[in-house]
Amino acid sequence: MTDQNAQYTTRCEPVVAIENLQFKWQSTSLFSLNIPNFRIYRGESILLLGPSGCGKSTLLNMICGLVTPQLGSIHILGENIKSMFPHQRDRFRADHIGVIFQMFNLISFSTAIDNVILPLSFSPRRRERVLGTDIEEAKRLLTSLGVDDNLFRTQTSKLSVGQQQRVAAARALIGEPEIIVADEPTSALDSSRRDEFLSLLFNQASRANTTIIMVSHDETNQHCFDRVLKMEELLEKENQS
Amino acid sequence: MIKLRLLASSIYSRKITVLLSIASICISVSLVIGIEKLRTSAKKSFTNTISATDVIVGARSGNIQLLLYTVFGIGNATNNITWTTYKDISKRPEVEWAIPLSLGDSHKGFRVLGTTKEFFEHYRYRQKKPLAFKYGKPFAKTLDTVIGSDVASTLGYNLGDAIVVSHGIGKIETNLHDDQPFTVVGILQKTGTPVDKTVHVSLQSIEAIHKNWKGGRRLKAQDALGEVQTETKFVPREITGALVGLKSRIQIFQFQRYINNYRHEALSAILPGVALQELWSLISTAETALIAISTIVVMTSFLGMITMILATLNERRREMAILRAIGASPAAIAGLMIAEASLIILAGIISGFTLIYAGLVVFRSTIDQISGIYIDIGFPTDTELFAVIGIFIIGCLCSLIPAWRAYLISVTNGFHSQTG
Repeated sequence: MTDQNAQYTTRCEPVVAIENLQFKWQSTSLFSLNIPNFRIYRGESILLLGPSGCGKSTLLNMICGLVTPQLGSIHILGENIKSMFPHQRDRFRADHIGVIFQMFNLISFSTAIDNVILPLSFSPRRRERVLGTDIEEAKRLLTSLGVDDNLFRTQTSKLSVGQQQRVAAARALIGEPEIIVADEPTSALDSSRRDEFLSLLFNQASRANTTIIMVSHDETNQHCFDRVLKMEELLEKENQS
Repeated sequence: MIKLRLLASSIYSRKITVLLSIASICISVSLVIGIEKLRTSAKKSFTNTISATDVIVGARSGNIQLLLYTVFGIGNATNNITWTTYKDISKRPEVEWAIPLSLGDSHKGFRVLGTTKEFFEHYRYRQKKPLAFKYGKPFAKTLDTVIGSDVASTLGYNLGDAIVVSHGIGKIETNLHDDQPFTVVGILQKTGTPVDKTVHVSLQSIEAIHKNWKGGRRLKAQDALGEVQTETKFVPREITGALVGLKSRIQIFQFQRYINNYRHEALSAILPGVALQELWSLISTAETALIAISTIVVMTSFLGMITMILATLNERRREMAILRAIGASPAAIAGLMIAEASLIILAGIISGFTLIYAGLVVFRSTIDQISGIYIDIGFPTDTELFAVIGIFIIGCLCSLIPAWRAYLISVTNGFHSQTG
């Protein structure tokens, strides 16, 4: 843990706090994920590294409340997400978490603008944070992420992968959610576009002091993040603590 | 608003399959409405076979039998009424008009009806619509005949053609009145009633052509035609029945009671409207069959729609995963499925209505000409509206199947897994 990370732990309340988390899929008898203690702090950007099948996406699913652990607790922004009803978890996710996938991020038959403003229809709270109209905010985000304005009304299936990832980032950022969860968002981009994309994403996230949690198997982006953890390291390290 | 746009663009992205589903529902809705229109119109046309006639009088028999042989020309009379009785009845103070009917002969499978000129004046069908002549005029001479439109079109008759009447109503014409052919002097407009399939002649001519007949056989050669045609003293001895119009409808039951209790002869008086309803209820099995067929067609189209939505669910897992990730609950995703199906059904219903009504506007007169079924094009009836609302509700209920499937998929899928 770097000095900067140590500062987070002392100064801030965690946005994600995991205690003795144990999870297994229904089809298996052994726990596939076992995290005794793990915290992520407000405004922090964290990269979780690990090979395919190590449980990175499962952890993101749990942070987003899409799956719940069998044992342990998981608090997001101080709320015990495990104890919520499913509909409360859905609402909580809509209000506080923006998501970017690896690829196939967008509703392919909708326009870029419609994709960006879609989360607002599930979260009045995020809509309240938008200054101006939804569309104005979507345009602002798309422009700041480097999307040409002539692509705003284009069907996203007709955009390049890089453009699609920027639209996905704008969708995750709209309404200033406290957390952005990104599941290998740069894996389909070449190295120059990868850096540019992350730079733009981080710039926009820093405006609202948004926490970024990203998982990847690619270690080349480490320099962009406040904290970098390998999944096995995380488990080992957290087991030791 | 954005959800509506999402719905619209989702539907647009699968436009071919959606259009096929809409077309399927459209056809089934138009079939249901068409069958319902046809059913009610056929019933109306059937019950409108005879109108403005208050009472039908015949020899003592059942309601339906009397109706069948006097109005529809089906079956035979159990007995005849004497001319004296007919005259007695027609002179009753409550009787406004009476038309004698004499049946028993035929022409190439079509019934021959002996009657008077008053038949063309007083007979009404379909909401008191009078008979109209397409060509010619009512019979004036003894061996004149007025034929119905189907007789003319089927046998290719025109004014001035000679036709020979056969004794009896058998299909094989053995005993022809070929010594006294009739001349076509009038062809009636199509009515959609048994009148179209009838050869109308005067009562006198019926008596005239049977002058030297006994027991269905001719006794000797008839006199010269000219002699018969100038004969005016042929007075009928018997007739088959009579149509009666009363001065006041209040007197109907009193008159019916009088006829049923007629002292000199065993008679029956029936109310045509009541008898027609009784007859229709006997053949309502066909009605039920039509409804059953249209129900099956509707259910088939719904199965098609469910299959279409279910088949696309796998392709749409990604779409559902994205919606879940941005905060849509499984119920919201299921709701989108139901909304999508509802829109498809609604589009199918609207296009189905448009199709059938446009079809009716274009083909109504042709249907009337061909089948005699006059279809009313008005605001949809209560039954049609109930049927359509029923279709919409059942369709929405059917959409719960793919919606439930979508719900399960979105609950179990979580994120679209791309990494470990």
